[in-house]
Amino acid sequence: MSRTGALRGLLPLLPLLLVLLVLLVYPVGRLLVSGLAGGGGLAAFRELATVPLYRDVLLRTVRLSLTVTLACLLLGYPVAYTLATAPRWLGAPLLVLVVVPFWISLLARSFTWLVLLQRNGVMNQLLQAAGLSKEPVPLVYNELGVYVGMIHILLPYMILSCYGVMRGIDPTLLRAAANLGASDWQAFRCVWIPLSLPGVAAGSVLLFVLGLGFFITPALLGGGKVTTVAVLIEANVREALNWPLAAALSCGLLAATVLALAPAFRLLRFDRLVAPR
Amino acid sequence: MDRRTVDISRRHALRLGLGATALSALPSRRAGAQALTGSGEVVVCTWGGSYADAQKKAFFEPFEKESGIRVRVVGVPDLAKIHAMVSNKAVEWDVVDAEGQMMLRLAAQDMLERVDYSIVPRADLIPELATDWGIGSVAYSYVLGWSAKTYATRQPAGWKDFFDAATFPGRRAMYAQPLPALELALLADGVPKDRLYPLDVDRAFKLLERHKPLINVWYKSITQIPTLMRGEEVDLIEATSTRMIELQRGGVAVGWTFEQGAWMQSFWIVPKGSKNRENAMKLMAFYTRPEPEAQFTQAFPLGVPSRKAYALMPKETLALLPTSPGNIERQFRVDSGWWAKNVEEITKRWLAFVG
Amino acid sequence: MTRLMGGLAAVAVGFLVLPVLALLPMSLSGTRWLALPPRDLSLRWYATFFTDRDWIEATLVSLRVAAGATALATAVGTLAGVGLARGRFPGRDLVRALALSPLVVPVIVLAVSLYYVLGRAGLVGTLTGLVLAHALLGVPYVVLNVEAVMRGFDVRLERAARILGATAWQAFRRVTLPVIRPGVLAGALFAFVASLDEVVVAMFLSGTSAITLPKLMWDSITQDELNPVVTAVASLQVAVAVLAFGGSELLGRRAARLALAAEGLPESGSAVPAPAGGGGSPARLDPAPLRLVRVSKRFGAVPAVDDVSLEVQPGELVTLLGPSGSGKTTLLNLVAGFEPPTAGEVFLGGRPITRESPNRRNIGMVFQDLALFPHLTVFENVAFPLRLRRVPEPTIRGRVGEMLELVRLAGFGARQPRELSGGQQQRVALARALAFRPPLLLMDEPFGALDRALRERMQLELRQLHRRLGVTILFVTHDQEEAMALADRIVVIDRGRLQQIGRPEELYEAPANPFVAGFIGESNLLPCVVIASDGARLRVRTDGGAELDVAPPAAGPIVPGTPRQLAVRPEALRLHAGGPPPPHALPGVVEEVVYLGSVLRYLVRINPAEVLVVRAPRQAGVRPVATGAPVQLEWDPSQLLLL
Repeated sequence: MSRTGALRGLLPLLPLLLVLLVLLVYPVGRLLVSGLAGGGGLAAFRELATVPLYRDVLLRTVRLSLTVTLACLLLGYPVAYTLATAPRWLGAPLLVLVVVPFWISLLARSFTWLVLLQRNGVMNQLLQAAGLSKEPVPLVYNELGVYVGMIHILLPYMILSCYGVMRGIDPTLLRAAANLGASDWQAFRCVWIPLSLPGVAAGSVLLFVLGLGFFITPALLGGGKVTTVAVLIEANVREALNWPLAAALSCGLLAATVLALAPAFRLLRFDRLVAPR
Repeated sequence: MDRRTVDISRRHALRLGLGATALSALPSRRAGAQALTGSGEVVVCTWGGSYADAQKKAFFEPFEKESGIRVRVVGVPDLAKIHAMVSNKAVEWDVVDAEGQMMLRLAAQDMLERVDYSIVPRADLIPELATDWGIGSVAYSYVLGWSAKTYATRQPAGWKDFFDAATFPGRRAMYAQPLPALELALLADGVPKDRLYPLDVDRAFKLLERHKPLINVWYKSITQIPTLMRGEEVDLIEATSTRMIELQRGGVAVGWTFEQGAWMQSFWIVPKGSKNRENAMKLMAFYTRPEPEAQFTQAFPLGVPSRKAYALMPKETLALLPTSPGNIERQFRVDSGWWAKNVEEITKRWLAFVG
Repeated sequence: MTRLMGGLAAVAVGFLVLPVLALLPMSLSGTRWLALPPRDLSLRWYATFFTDRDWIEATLVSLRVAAGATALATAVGTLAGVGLARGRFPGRDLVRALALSPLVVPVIVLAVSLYYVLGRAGLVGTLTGLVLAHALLGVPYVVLNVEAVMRGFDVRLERAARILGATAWQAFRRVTLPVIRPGVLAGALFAFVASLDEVVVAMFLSGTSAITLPKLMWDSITQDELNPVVTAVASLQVAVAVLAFGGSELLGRRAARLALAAEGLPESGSAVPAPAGGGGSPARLDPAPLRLVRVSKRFGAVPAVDDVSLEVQPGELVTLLGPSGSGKTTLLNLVAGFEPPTAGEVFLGGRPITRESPNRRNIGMVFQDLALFPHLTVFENVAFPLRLRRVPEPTIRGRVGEMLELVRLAGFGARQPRELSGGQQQRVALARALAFRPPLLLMDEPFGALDRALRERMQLELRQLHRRLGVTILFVTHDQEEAMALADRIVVIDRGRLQQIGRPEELYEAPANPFVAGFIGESNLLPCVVIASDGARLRVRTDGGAELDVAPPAAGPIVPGTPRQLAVRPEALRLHAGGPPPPHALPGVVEEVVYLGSVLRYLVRINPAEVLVVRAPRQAGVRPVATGAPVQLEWDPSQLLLL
């Protein structure tokens, strides 16, 4: 490949590179560096490593993200399956139902859950009416509320990711399996599931990474008790003006994101999220 | 320090009482009230929600009409932000409804404009509320509140009960700020009201740590109090008197008491380098008028700086003010000076605690 | 199984939809606090939203920020998407990862970083700061959508534009951009909605005079006791989102259709309309000679074209013939200027054009899949090169009309390419390539997608056109019958190297090597060894043991013992079934007979290792020799070739 050809290929990317440099690479870099400079060297990082609070917060964030990812997988896989195998009259409106909540403001969805999950809210009324509980159950201002909120926001990503792969699975394969003697369950287990794994893997990685950075939902639905790394960063910036610590926390969060993401980046077909056709 | 605090309270109360009877005969309109005019805008930073709504109705909208100066209301006062704004010379807030300790700290760092008493009439203001760096805005209280449904037969009487899960089972909410949580913890631990300061911080945190599992909700903003109580989310709550009054007026079954309450004075301050300094002073001048103050207290029964305002309030409203006689003695006053000195360290420790 | 899945899916979807369903009733509750089920139904919160100064201002700010951010993100993202889809440069994957990183870097980190840096630049609390931040967040959406639509975009459209005279920028603006526009718009839409919805960055970068709608909503939620106006706003957002989604779906479908149309759907055998021909005959073109001198092209270590030299005389129709992968298309691309040669020079009309960019070479080209511009009418397609050359409008009209008549498509000017049949699209491509009177016409397997009858018709028409216009033509094909039918001379090329150049009959009767012998027409190729020579004759023994006499090749004396290839045309062998064996005959057994209409094709085994193909004209009334019958194969030594 000639050098001039390569350079010319780079030309249309120059504006992008400029934007990324000025608005992404430099600011994030500056923030991370300020963590080192402001607090006197690695003081903030040392604090991060020694004070148990931060370890707890990080573990909580990871635990939250993992659980939400798993839940979204369990809930989302059947939806993707239905979307991929249903006839058009069912599939198209179903897709709309999946995607529309995706587009509603994060804030609106979060506080709607707040109202729904209140002690005297609709969900508790239903639970009591259905006889599942005698007393109102604390559904919000705790981790449960945060789980509900986060699952609600991340579920469409999982569905679309799995659906994107499942669409490409040839349905004749299932017929072939049946013809060869496989039961419904066996065909599903031995043919469909393995073929859908790329979508599952990609969706899971994406969800985990997004879940790590969640701020709004834990802040709104957690009752002040569900502190994630993002919440801590925000608190340190706005209330404590503790930039070094905020920078150190950001560094940690970024590192976790990159660690989770790097091996899987090729896997992630983001285009499935924006062009589900 | 403790005695002085008490003395101030009593003097405050006496002045109010005196003012109320002596001035009840005065005409309601201030003699020689200056008409305020100007142009441009002024940005007010206050505490949001129905409080800001009431301020809008009583002060900001009439001020706009009279002066032609546009009032923009934003929330929420944040010392770190003001600090950043003044340091970067990009001051966005012209007048701020700040806590006492906020004013002291900012003044110590020379980040405030002096009050221009050529524009702001100080004659009728309660003297200690007309300081160099700000005029009094409201005196408000943190009180103990509870659900009347849950505690129909026996009500909690103080902060000791708040942390007593055996006698008062139920869910609890606290404000996610060290002020006044530390004081309330110390009161719960048996420290008498007049011996609170200087605060034994370690003792306060010890108690809070011990009872932390009891707290089901740490709310970040006062405006969440009505939502929590309406949603029957908690049974016991560290609240403000005005929010509890609002709930009661709204028909929600709650109870509350001034007993062991923490009252504090907030001030209107103008950050240094404010772009609309003069308009800010004019707004403060408007604020000192008794009629709008009296109107405001109908919605939000809080202590106001103008002596003459008290003459205009009905007895029922007076009874609800934190600084009225009968109420003020049951509470303690938060020591802004102590907090101004110690809040930075305590915030770090607090964040570690609540996180 | 399906029922279990369906049940779980229903639960999940119900869960997803629940808050959406709750929003609308909540927004209609007249109480100051959020109530579900709603009480005191009223529209007051919608009214507040539309009349309250703060909400209106916040909405306007949000719209302005979204517009600015979308414009910036679309410009940057479209260029980047095109560059990434096509570029082959080191580090492309890294750049792509960076371009998409705003989607996965935790927003809080982005927000705090930008707050830190923009704060020092005095941009916090300004529209500019918000626009820049939101543009960053919107770029990945545009890049993804543009990449996706570029995948369906035929890059040859751009090449067509270039050879018709457009510079790289002109080609991008006039061809690429219009065709990928639906993808660009979809990306812009995503970026727009994302900006309208964005909260976390807005939390940090908003200021008193620049506060976005989501930030105001956040403030309302956290500081304003869950002001119900927020539910009204959210319900309106649902409506907008549904519209946006519907819009993007429609645009996407249109993009797919356009992409499909550009592929030149093959002819289905319908009759080619023949509008009244006639009109004046166009002026003959001024053909130029083409000369390639020792041209080579390497891709890495592999030579696609290896030291090729050839000359095409003005007005000649030369075909480049070779199997797939032989380098013929690469050679054509070198002449057209799409690739620079690794070595060698190209001369057109005596002038060196090796370093010239394609749009300056003034060469006409018809591509393998036509590359008609799907967004332009037939008329505009043909007019395209003329417009680039700034030909005055009346001349354009005249010339286009002339060209369309030439290809017998007069009156089709207003049609869209996708409305035409394969054969008609061919003619448009031809008309477009000739519209600017090029001295040389390049054709890259243009008839490959047509069925046999149509192909033969097009070949005939091409020859007629060639005679009329006299233009020099270089025609690439892998079909040797086509090459023989069309060419004045054929250039045979295999694995990048020239095998032979000559007239069709030369190649057929005197192939220079086994490859040409095997590729042109059908040939029996037998490895053999020369065992005796007596000046006038050579005797060879094939590997299978058969011994034949051959006329010595013109190239010179052969040393006995050297291994060679013996080439025999099937029709040079005569089949004798029964009767005395003629001189120069091999005994054999018929293994198979294939009836091909006018010709019979026999497979005759002469020894356990070798089978010969023999063609014999079918004679009416005479029965073909049966399988298994012993026969004698007669040959003429002068008809055998030693290679």
